[in-house]
Amino acid sequence: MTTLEPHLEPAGPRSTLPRLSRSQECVPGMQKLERLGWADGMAFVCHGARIGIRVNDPAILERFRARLPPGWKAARSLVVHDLYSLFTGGTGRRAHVRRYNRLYLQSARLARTMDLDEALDRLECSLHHSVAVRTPKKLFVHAGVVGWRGRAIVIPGRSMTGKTTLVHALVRAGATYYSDEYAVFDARGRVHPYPKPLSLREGSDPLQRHVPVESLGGRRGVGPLPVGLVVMATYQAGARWRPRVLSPGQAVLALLDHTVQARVRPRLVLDSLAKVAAGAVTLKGKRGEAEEVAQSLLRHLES
Amino acid sequence: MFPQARTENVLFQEIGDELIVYDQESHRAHRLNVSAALVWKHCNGQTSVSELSALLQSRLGLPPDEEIACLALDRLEKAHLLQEPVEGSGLSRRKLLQKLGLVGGLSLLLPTVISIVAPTPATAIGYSTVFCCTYFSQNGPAKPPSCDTSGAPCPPAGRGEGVAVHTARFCDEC
Repeated sequence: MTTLEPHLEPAGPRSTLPRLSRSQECVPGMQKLERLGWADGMAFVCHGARIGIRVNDPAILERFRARLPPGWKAARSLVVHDLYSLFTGGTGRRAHVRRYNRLYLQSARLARTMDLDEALDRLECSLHHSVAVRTPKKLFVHAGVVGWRGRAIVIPGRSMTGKTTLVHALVRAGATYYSDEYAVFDARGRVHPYPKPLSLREGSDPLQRHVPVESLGGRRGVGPLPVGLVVMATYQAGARWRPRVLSPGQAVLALLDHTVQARVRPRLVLDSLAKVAAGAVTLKGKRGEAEEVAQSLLRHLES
Repeated sequence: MFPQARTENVLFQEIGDELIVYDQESHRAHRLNVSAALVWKHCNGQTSVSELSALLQSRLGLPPDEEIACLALDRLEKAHLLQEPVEGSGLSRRKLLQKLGLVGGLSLLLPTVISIVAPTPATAIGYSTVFCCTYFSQNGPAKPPSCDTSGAPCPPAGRGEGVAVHTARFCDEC
C-alpha cells in the first residue's frame, strides 16, 4: 500500500481514470468512494458498452486484462456506463485489522472478501453481465452456442441447467465454440461469437473453473452465423431425448425468457427473435447424458 | 358486444399465423395462436362476437359456434389485451372441445394465449437461483435476511463468508 501512494490520484474531471457521466455521478455513496485512493484504471468498449475499472493496485489490473470480456477494445473516452472499483486489502498483516478486498459497481458493493480470487471472479462475471445489459447494438440471450456446418445451435437456459455441459459435448463432437453463456444476436437474427472460457463445474460442486476451449481440443468460431437449431433441454438423469418441435411463436417466447434486455428494448427483442425463430427449428424436451444428445443434435442439423 | 383490443403500450410481432404481444405496462409477453390472433386483430370496436365467429369459420374452418369467439375473448381479457372486460361464456377449453367434438388438428386451432413475465437482467441469467440453492444448502431452509431486487447479478457460487452476504444482497427470487 505505502509504495503505491505516490501514484494515487484523485478521481475528477482531469483524472486519467475512468468515470461515470455527470448524470450518474450523483449516485448516493459515489463521492465517498471517490475519496479512496485509486492508482490505475482503464476504460474499454465491448459491443458498444462502455465500461471502466479502477484499482488501488496497478498490478491487479495487469493481471486481470486476460479476463476481460471477449472482443473488448480500449476506449478513447474515459466516460463510462458502468464503473467498477476494486479496492484490494493487500497481504500484509496487522493486528485486529481485516484486510478485505472490496468490489463496487458504481457505489453498490458487490463483494467484500478476504479472498482476492473470489473478488476477481466476481468482477469477471459482472463485466459479462454489464456488457449484456449496456450494449446498444446487440441482443444478449443467456444461452450456449456452437456452430456446425455454417449454422448455429443455440441452447438457452438458466445457470446450472447444463448448458456448458452440452456445449462442451458438442465441441468434443466437432462443433465450433461460440459461447457457453451468451448468444449475441444482431438485428438480422444472426449469432456472433462470444468465446469466453468455458465455466466448467465438477459434479455438484458449485465452484467453476474457467477453461479456454483450445485446451479442450476445440476451436473458436469467428464470424456470425444464422441459427439452425434452438434447443430447450432440461437435464434429467436417465431421460431419453425425445423432443417436441415448438412453433415459431413458442420459440420467441422461450428465447425472450432468457433475454437480458427483454424489458429495456422490447421492440428490438421482438424483431430479432422473430427472425431467429422464423429461420430455425426449435426443440424442447428432457435430456439425459450430453454426449448422446450432442450427436442427435448434429445429425438433426445436418438433415 | 363489440370488443376492442388494447393498443396503448403494447407492441406486437407477427410470426407466421401467430402473434407475439408485448405489454409494456406489465412487462408480460403473450403468444397468441392463430385463432386468438385472428380475433385480437379484428377487435376494433365495430366487429360483433357473431362476426368474429363467422371469421373463425371462414378463415380457419372452425365450427360456427360463438362459444369459440367467446373463449378467445375470455383468454384475451385475462391477458389484459382488451380495453374493457367482456362477458365470457364460462366454458373451459376442455368443455368446449367435448361439446364441439373437435379432434386432431382442429382442436389445436382453439384459441390459446400463453403468457410469460419478461425477465429482468438478473432473472434472465438466473444467478439468483444458483445462489438460493447454494445458500439453502449451507444455511437450511430459512430465507436470506433481506433481498434486494435491484436487478444486479449475483456473484458466482461462492466460497466461505461471501455466499450469505451476496445472497442477502442480490437474491431476487425470495
